[in-house]
Amino acid sequence: MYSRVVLLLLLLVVSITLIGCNGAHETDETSWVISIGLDKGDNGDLVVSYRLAVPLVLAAGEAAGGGKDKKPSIIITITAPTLAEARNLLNVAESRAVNLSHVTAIVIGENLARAGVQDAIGALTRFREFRGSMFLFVCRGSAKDMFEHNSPQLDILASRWVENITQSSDETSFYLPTNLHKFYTQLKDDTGSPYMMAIAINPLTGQNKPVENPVVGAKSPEYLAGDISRKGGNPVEPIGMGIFKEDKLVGYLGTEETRAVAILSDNYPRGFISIDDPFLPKHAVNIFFRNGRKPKIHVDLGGETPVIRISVFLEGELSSIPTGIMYESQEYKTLLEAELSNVIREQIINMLIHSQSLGVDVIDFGYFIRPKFSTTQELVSYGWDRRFRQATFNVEVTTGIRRTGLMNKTSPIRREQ
Amino acid sequence: MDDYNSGRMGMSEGIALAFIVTFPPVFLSHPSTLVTSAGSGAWLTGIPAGFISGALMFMMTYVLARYPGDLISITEQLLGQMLAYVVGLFYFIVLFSFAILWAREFAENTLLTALPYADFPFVVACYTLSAGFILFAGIENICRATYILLPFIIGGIAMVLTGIVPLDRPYNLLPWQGNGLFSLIKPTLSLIGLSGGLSILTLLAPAFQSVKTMKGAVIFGYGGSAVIRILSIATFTMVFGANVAKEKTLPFYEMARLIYINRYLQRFEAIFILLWVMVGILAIAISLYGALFITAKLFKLPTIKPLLPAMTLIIAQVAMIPPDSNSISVIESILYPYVFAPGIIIIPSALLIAVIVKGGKKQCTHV
Repeated sequence: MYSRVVLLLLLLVVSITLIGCNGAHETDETSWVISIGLDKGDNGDLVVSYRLAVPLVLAAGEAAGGGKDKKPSIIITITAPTLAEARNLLNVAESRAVNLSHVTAIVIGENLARAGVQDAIGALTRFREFRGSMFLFVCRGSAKDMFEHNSPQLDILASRWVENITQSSDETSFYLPTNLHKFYTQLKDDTGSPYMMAIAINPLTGQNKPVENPVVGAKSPEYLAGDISRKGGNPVEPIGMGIFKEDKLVGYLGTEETRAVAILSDNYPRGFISIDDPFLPKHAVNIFFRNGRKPKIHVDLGGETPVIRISVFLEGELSSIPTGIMYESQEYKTLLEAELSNVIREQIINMLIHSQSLGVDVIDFGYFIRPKFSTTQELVSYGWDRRFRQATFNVEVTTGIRRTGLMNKTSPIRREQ
Repeated sequence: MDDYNSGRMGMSEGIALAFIVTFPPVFLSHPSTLVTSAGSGAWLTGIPAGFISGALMFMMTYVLARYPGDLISITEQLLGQMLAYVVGLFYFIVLFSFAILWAREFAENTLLTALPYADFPFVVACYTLSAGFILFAGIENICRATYILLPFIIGGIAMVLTGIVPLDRPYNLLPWQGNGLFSLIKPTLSLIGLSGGLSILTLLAPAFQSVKTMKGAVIFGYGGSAVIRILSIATFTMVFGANVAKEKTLPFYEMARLIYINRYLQRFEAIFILLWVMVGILAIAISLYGALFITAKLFKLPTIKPLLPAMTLIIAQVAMIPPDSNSISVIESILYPYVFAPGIIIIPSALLIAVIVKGGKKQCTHV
């Protein structure tokens, strides 16, 4: 009898304590922050821009087709010495309790990134509401401006926009999604350099501002974020990557360079490229290609300076041959494969030279030298960062065009006799 | 008949027992403590530690095959009453310390993750009182409940370790010596110290009825726990790299948080909080049982039940003494390698030597 009473009491206690109400907040008592922008303020302050979800607008939009005149998110900008103080002030400004556990993106303004993100990033890995899966962006310009100009028209919810652009990076690899975990581990690792997705505001004037001309044989030049010729759409565009030395931004890689990083990191699932037609260079041949296998990277430490040997195999599918030349045939296909290999090889070498000039190992070739050392102390004392700047590269790219699309030959356009 | 002596337990209960008393460190800060000492070679320390602890248990089964009984009575037969008290006291300290340290650590972890606004004494009390309460059900029932939980624990761990495969960087396990061969010694000793919970198998030896059952429990229960622990530390190091891994308070929770399959499949960590709470309570309960068993044996008490509320309260009170969670890590870094490990190595070795010297013959497979 006694044990039954105890059991009953226990069940009562369990049913009360396990319902999850301890410290719970109802959703209509909480302000959900979707993304945070960080800029450098005066006197060492941080300018923190919060984008908060307005769930009522979304609910009204779905249920009654209304809410179109209201925005689904609001932006509040606060200047404070630290992220924690900014959060305190945000809590004062908002009637609802602020919650950061649904932050999907942190955008860091260029000024702050160049000055160093050490102070800003401290809280991100320690406080429970932030997650390693949050995406990080570095903004060419101010994060606050980017927040204000960001007006996605296909995505109602700002968090969905972030998820969609990071997911759709697979289509081009002109930008590479970076989350807090990846950035932070690279920041602290013995080798390699951290990077973030670059983002910027495009003026939408249609002006073309490439940063580099195309490499020989390629059609498309190198663009940085905010510089592509465009009118219409969301002014905010993610392109390329901001690369960091220690915790400071030291430069950007553009579209083609970022794709080269993706190829060498075995993170290039698909994408188009337009290259010169080998016989009629004013025309372009379009190829849909991807990594055919994981790139082979070998770092030789035997000599005075490291020699990095890279072997890449690309697999392609023809998607356009406007000239009617029979590139589907084995004989001509070889020419096209060689052309694509040369273009990608040049782009990879340009990226490597650029990152080497900035003193950053963005691919983390240092990762491949770890088996050559017995202890961490030996690895650290080898001084990979210094050695990488003197390293020489031996890049080999081969391409196999395996498929010719939905056409296996091209008939010429009929010309008047 | 003493009421605390268990009746009969089979292989499944033995496996559950061996697993649950050696597994909690996976959910606590221990992996990151190992990485702090050994660097990228931390995962390797689990291999010698597993073999040494397993071998020590096999030495005990050799002794048990010749001198049936439990650890205390065998020690009394082989080494005398005084040393039996010393051995009993040592294992009491080991098991009681586990109960105290785990109560505090699991409570801290719960406060850090699931219940940040709860009162600290309330959470400590929840763990210790729950452990104390389920002990009323008896050790056999706890072992059976643990056995039911095993597939969920192993499945949950497997889910986390496979969910973060895309983030694995295998070369982070290299350089293989980490901070140097010498630096691997302390973590190895620490893991041997953590296997002190296995002593409960020797305390309950008569309940297992045969040496074969005990051997099976060691191989499958402790072996499984050791293998999963090695995999867990290896994955932790591969994902975070040694430099970040040593910063982490909750390695397993952090790994679970990183699972991001897509926008719809993420934030799995809440499931694992429940898992570690259950593992924590069961491990505290079993350690407490072991400590009570030794107390009853040494003082020839007929029952342990009247001691339960008092001991539970003592555990809760002592668990709250360290000023902060880092103090627990400091205490552990001294206790496990320098206090527990030597005893755990010396006692079975001494018993084995005593058996060889006294020339005990194998009586039967039953203990």
